[in-house]
Amino acid sequence: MQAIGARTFEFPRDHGSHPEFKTEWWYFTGALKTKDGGDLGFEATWFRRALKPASEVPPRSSRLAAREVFAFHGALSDIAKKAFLHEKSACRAAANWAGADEKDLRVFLLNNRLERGAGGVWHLTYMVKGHRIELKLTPQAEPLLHGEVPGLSPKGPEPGQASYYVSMPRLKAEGTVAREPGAAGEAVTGEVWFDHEFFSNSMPDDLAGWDWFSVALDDGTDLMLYALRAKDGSIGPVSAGTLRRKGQPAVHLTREDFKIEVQARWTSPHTKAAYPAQWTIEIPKHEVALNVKPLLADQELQSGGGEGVSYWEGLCRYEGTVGGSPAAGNGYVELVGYAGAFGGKL
Amino acid sequence: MNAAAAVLGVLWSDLRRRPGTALASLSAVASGVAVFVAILLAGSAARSSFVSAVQAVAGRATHEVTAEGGLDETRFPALLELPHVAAAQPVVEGRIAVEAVLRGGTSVRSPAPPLRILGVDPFRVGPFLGEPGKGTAPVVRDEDLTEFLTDPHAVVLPRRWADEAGAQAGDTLRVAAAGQIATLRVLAVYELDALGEAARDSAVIDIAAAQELLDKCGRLDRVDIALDEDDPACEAELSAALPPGERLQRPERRGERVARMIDAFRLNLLALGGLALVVGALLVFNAAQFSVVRRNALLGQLRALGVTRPLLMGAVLAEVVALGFVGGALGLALGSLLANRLAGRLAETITDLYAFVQVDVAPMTWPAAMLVLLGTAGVAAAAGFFPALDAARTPPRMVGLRSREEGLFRAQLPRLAFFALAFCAAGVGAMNFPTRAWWPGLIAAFAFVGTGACLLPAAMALLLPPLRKLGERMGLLALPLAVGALSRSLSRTGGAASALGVALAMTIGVITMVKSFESEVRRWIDGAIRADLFISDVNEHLAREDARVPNAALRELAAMPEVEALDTLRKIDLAYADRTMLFFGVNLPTPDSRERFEFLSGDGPSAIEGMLGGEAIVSEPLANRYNLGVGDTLAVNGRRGEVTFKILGVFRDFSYDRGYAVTGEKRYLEIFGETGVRNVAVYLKPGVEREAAARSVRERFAGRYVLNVRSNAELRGHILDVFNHTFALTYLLQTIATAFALGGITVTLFGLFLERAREIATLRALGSAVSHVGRLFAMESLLMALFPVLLALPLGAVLAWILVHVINLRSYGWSIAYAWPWSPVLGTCALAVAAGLCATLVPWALARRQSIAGALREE
Repeated sequence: MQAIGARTFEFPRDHGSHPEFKTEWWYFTGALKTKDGGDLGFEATWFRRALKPASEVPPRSSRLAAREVFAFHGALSDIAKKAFLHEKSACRAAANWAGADEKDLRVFLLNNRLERGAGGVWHLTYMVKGHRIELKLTPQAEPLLHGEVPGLSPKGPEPGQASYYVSMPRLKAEGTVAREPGAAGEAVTGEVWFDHEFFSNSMPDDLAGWDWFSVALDDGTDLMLYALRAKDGSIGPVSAGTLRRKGQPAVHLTREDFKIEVQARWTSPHTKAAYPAQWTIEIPKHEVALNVKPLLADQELQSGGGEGVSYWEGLCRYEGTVGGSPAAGNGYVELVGYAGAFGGKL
Repeated sequence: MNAAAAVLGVLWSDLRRRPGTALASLSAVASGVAVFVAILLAGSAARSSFVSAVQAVAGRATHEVTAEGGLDETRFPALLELPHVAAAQPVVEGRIAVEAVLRGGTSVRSPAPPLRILGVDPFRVGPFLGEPGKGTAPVVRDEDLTEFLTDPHAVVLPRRWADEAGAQAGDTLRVAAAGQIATLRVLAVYELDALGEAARDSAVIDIAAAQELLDKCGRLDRVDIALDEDDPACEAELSAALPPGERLQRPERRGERVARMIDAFRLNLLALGGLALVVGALLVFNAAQFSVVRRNALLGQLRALGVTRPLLMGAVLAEVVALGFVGGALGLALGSLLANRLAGRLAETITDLYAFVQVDVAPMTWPAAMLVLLGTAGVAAAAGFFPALDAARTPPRMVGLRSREEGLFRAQLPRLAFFALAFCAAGVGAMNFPTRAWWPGLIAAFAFVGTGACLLPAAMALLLPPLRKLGERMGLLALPLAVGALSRSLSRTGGAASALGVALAMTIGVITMVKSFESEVRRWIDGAIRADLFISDVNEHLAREDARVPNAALRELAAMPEVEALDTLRKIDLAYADRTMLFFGVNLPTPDSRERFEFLSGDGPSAIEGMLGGEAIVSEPLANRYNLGVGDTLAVNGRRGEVTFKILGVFRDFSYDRGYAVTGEKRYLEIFGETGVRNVAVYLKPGVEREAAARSVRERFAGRYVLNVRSNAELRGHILDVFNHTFALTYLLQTIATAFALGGITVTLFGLFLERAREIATLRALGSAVSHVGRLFAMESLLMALFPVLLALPLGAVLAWILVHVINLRSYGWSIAYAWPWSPVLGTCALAVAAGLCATLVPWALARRQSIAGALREE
């Protein structure tokens, strides 16, 4: 099935898996604070990829037979320690090894799991390099449907070159993070941004990568922007975003609505890729002007031994004004396609 | 230095004048060493192949987690959470037969060698591949991953097997697995460095496909583990974190357990090889002694020329040791060749009896080869020592007198008698050693062989003079002459006679043991094989644990109008103590099927009743090996931890020397889960003809299942075939040893006759007819064979007794009644006598042609 046309979303059903689409991801990024005020950032992402359409796979008697493969990317940014940890794993969707519920929010890869539990609280648990992260997430706002057609987010000029894209900004987080391998967790609180996308078509041929921004500001503004970069370096016309100011409906932003300027660059010592490292974002129509600065330069997830793609996904400080008033917050930036082709990100 | 060189030069030129004698000595040494080396090499190759196969599959795993009956597949994520687990790899494995390699629908190879199926998860295999620090080609390439995961028939073949079978990517394999026909598609061929050389026959498939192919859905055979730190503390911590029923062990432990299964078998073979070595050593001894004694005159001349005693003794010993070295080296070479031949037979037998094995004989290591060489030289030196000492001690004028030669030998008779006594005492002592182990039996057997070997020359020396007198009194001309000739040459023939005697005794012992065994097995078969048809996986020999009668086949059988009841058997290999045992689950659906156990202790009917209700009965070998009896408790590990059974009976069984326990099907399934029906005994309705029913089942199953359908008579025949096949190897070794012994005695006699050319010429000059000379030779040969036979009969009986009541009982746990098989025993003796007579033919023919004058002049 392709992401074409409007879709009626139903939650929590649509937080669950959509096996009729080839690719799907559940993307959690969050800004946390320890009791002593230390900044932590985390990423926990489950990717689902169907190996073959259901119709092409014979019925199997083994419960381990795989039609889908899951991947998990976990990262932890400990700003005070200037430490960035990340780990990737993959597993067949089978038995209790990996999978996702089709009716509700439940996705897991081995022992990295996310589950919507009693009282609508989401339980997120994962390990990165021996550090255990356990968070309870409580939704604070309605799902945010991106795109001009709500929930449909175009990624290219052709029909189907799009994804269904829903976010849950401002999940209130409470839990523990182990700051040393195997150590007991320290209590943390914070806010988490959840992105959920599913689609079948591949990306346009001339797509080189994307820069993606998300932040929940302290004035109650939620902002998501993505710039799709073409191979010639230009920013493609279907780049878009969504702005939701406190108490107001979400507004779709088109390419023409926003301006992103790179202020600094950082070269990865691991991959030698040169990433942009500081930005100004302006959305004149809505009086938004923000400076974005990474809280830690090296938040690059390197591919292990040639598998998948390396990308930068890190905790950043957003500061500026919205509607003339100051606004700030810790949010995330994702930079894909700077260290080789992005095609293998999954 | 010069003097030593000169002495050795003289000895060397003497040797060159008599190349036949030198060659005979050399071949005696070489053959003795060869047999031993061959058995040693083939036996240890068979053992190590079990261990290395385990290592190959385990890759770089330091540990593995297993459970009896397999781990539940859903346990895998939890295992990853346990302390110190750095990486884990779930494994489902088995062995399949490859019926054909097909390319574009036509067969390019049929059948192809069997394959080991290694079912893995490609996402988890990475950390377990290759040597640390060495880059390896991936087993499954990225571009093949989707097909590998989604096509249940996709397989990646190892390069070596693919080359051997002529298979390539794109081909199809028609295979037989878990009792059914299946097809596999060759996705790619991987290079061996990815998994290691020993994985030459490991075909890699996806773990889900492996579960389906091998009928193991829901289960993992094991999970390979790499610990973050490979130290005992981490191991203990992880081990303690496992739930009951799951076990952490090093992979080599599993290999050792499997290898230990064949230990008794291998050591028995080695013991047989050891006895062959005794025969060889006696031949070496004979050859060495002969070479010293024969040249007594020469040695005397050297003494007369002023060669000192130490120099002479040193030179003689040097020569004998050289004989040992050269003969030993030849023996090593010959033994290595023989080992390759033997290994194939050995592999077949072990596959028949225990588990599938392919044996590649590795060349002997240098230290081992040196040990064999030194050993051979040592035996030769020991053999030459006393004659050399005597030769050196004798005053020069005495050396070289003919009477002196035998005098030298006779001086050794008290020594021999002493050794005989010492050996006998050692044997009696070993027999009474308070242990249940079987090695004292082996020591006793060797000691009694030693007794016989020492006793025979002494007995001949004692018995020959009265025999000569008897012959003279009875007026037989040939007998006193022959006895006289033999008594004069005892120094040359004693060792050879002992060798023959020992070899014959071994043959008689083994024949008696095998025949006793066979009659017991025949009796047992009559009671145990009761059903009308027996159905089992054709490829059971490849992978016992994976053999299946598929459920679909069982359903079809049950629905056949001719069938009254199905007696299904489930079977599992369990780790028990430091080795493995078997556990059976049975249903015994008919009164007749309950009669198939012959109880040695316990009350039969109530034991069967209690066993079906969940308690256990055990086979005699298990009871004997672990000292279990009625009323004892048997504790084994099930899937969820230890379970105990009350033992209600011990029954006779000859099918598994490892021993097994039996319980009812219901309790079996509770404890081990569904491990699949291993074989089924079919009871037919009254009036249905067995052979016809067997044909009808075969026709019905053809092309779908790969099952052996045997009627009652066919199964009985099959069991006896396996039995005979097993002992074929024993017979082969025995025949080799006896043939060498007979060869030794033939060469000895031959040499003796040639030496006596002048004596014979004199006889003929005095008017003896050629036929008289022939009769003389024949009489001597007869005596030379008769004495060993007289030794072999009682010694063979003793050896057989030890084999049956000590070694067999203690190493295999089988109690069998001793039965003396007259006809094969007498046949063997007759053969020895006949071979001895044959040895006279050539010298006799030579004597016929010999010019009397020429022979007399030459001397």
